[in-house]
Amino acid sequence: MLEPVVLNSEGIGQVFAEGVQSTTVFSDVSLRVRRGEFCLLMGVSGSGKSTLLAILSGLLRPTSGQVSVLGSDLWRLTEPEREEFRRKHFGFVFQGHNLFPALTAREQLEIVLRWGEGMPAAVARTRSDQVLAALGLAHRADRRPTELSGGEKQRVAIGRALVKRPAFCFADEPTRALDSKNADLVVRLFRETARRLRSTVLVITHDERMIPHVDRVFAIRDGRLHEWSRTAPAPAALRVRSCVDRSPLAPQVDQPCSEST
Amino acid sequence: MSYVLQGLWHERRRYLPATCAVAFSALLVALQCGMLLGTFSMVSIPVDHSTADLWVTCPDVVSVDVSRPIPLRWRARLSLPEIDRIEPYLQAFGIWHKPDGAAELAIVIGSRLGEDSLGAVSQLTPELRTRLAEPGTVVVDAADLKRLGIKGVGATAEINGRKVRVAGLVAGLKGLAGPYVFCSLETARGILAMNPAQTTFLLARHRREISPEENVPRWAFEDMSVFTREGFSTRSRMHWLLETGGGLSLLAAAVLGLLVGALITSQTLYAAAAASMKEFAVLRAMGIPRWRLATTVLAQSFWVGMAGLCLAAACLPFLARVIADRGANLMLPAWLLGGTACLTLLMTVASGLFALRSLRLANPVGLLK
Ligand SMILES: Nc1ncnc2c1ncn2[C@@H]1O[C@H](COP(=O)(O)OP(=O)(O)OP(=O)(O)O)[C@@H](O)[C@H]1O
Ligand SMILES: [Mg+2]
Repeated sequence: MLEPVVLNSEGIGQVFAEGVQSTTVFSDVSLRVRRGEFCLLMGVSGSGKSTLLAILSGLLRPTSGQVSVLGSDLWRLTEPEREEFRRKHFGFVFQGHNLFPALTAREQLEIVLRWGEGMPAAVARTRSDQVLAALGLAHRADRRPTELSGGEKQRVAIGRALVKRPAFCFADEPTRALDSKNADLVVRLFRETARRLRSTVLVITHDERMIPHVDRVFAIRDGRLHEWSRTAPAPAALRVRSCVDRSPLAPQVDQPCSEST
Repeated sequence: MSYVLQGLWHERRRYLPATCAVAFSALLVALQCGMLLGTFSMVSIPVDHSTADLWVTCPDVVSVDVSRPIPLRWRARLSLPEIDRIEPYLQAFGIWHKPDGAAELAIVIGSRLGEDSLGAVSQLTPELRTRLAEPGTVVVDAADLKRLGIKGVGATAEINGRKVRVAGLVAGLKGLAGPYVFCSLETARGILAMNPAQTTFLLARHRREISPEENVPRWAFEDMSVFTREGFSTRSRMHWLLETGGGLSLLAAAVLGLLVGALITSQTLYAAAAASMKEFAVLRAMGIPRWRLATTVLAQSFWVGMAGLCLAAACLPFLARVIADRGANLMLPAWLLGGTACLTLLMTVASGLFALRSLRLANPVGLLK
C-alpha cells in the first residue's frame, strides 16, 4: 500500500538578485515525497541544494512556484502561521551541531519539548531519553557537547530534530565533518530513528556512500532537479559507484557497502 | 529557568565582568547615598538627639539651623491637656573667634539643663550639665576642636564678642555648617543677645498615650507651625539635600554609576546572546517563538543582576567600615539598601532589553549553506 504524498512542490524557481545582476539557482523544480520516505538531495557545490531545502522547509520564500506540505500551501501562510507550522511539523539538523555548550545531551532535546511543545519536565525527560537511546546515546545523556565526539554531537543534533516526532526532518549535510565510519553509523541511526518516529526526511549530502541507506535520491544539476531511480542509469553528476547498484531500498539498508576508494 | 542558570554557571567567566559592574553600580549608589544621608543627618543632630516630641516655630522655617525668633508667649497657645511640658530652646549661628584671632561660624545651642530637659542632647551627661550651669561655659564635640582652633577642656574663646570657656567635650555631634556649641539657656541668651521675650523654638512633650501626629492639625495658627521630631528632622535634612546641590551630585553619581553598569551589562549580555546565535537559530527554525528566546536573555540579565547584588552585599560591610574608619558619616537604612537593589535590578533588566537586539541575528536561513 502506498503512503500518501505529504510534500508536493510545483514549479519552484529561485533567482537571487544582486543589484543589476541576478543569479538563477534553479527553475521549475517539482517533487513529491510520500510519508516516511528517507530522501537524499545531492549535487555539486553551489547547485542550490541548501536553497531548495530552505524553500521546502518554510525558511526561504521562493521566487516562484508553490510548496504544499500536509495539504497546506506553505508560502501562502502568514509568517506567524508558517512559524507555527514549522513548530508543529518540522525538525532541522544543520551542518554544525549547534548545541548549547552549557547543556547536557538530554537537555538539548528537552529544551525543544519544553519550549516548543510546553511539555512537562518529567515527560520531556522520558521522551528525550527514549530518542537518545534509539540513537545509541543512552550512556551519553548527561554529557555536555565538549565531552562528546563529533559523531555523538551530530547524533544529539539529530535527536533534537526528531524528539518532537515531527512529520518532516530536514538535514543539511549532517555528516560533513565526520569520517566515513562515523558517517555511516550516524546515517543508519538517523534512518532507523526517523522510521520509528514515522518522520519523512530530506537530507542534503555529498556522500555517495549514503545512497544504499535511503529510499530516494534527488540531484540538482544545471538548475534542474533529477531523480535517480534504481532502474535508470545514474546521472553523471552523482558519480555513483557500483556498490550502490543494489536496490537503495530496504531490506539491505543495514548491509555495509563495500569500501570505496 | 534552570537552563538559564546552567548557562550562566557554565560561562561564569564571561558573565563575571557584568556581575562586577552590577556590584560596582550598586555599591556606588548605596555608598554615595549613604554618605549624603550621613552628612545631612548632621544637620538634624539637635532634633534627633533631644527628647522633645514637638518643635514649635514659624511656618517658613525650613531647617532647624535657619530658624528665627518667635515670641515666648506662644507657650499659652500650647497649654492644652495633651501637652505635658513646654520649654524654650535657642539655636542660632554665632561667630567663634579662635584664640589666634581667626573666625569660624558656630551653631550655638542653649537649652534647659535639668535631667528632664527636652532640648539638651542626650550626650550631655549630668556632670556636663552641672558644669554648664556656670555662666559662660560651653561644651563642644571633640571632633570639632581643630575647627574651633582650641586644644580641649579649659580653652577659652569668644563668640559674638562674649568670652566663653570650654567646660567639657562630647563625641558624635560634629556639625556640618559649623561646630555645635552647647550651653545653658542663659549663656546662649547672652551670646546671641536674644530679647528675653523671645526664643528660637518652643519644645514640648506630649503625654505618652497620644501620638504627636494626630494633634498636629489642632494648632491652627497662621504664624505658627508645630512639627513632630521625625517630621522636623526630615524637613531639615531634605532642605539641605535639595537646596545645597547635594541632591544633584547624588543624582549625578547614581546615574553615572548605573550607566556604567548598564553599559557593561548590556554589552556582556549582547555578546553572550550573539555567541548563542546558531543554537537560537536552530530553535527558531523549529518554530520556537522569539519571545521564548527573549525570555532567556531577560532571565540572564535578571540573574546577572542578582549575582551582582550578592557580590555587592558581601562587599558592603567591609567598605562601610573603611568609610566609617575614615571619619565619614555613613547611613545605610533598609529603605536605601532596598531601593538600591531595586534600582540595580531594574538597570540590569533594562540592559537585557537592550541586548534583545541580538536576537535579530538568530536567522535560520543563515545556517543553511
Ligand atoms: N543570499 C544569497 N544571495 C545571492 N546568492 C545566493 C544566496 N544564497 C545562495 N546564493 C547562491 O545560490 C547558489 C546556490 O547556493 P546553495 O547554498 O543553495 O548551494 P549548495 O548546493 O548548498 O552548495 P554547497 O554544496 O556548497 O553547500 C550559489 O551559487 C550561491 O552563491
Ligand atoms: Mg549547501
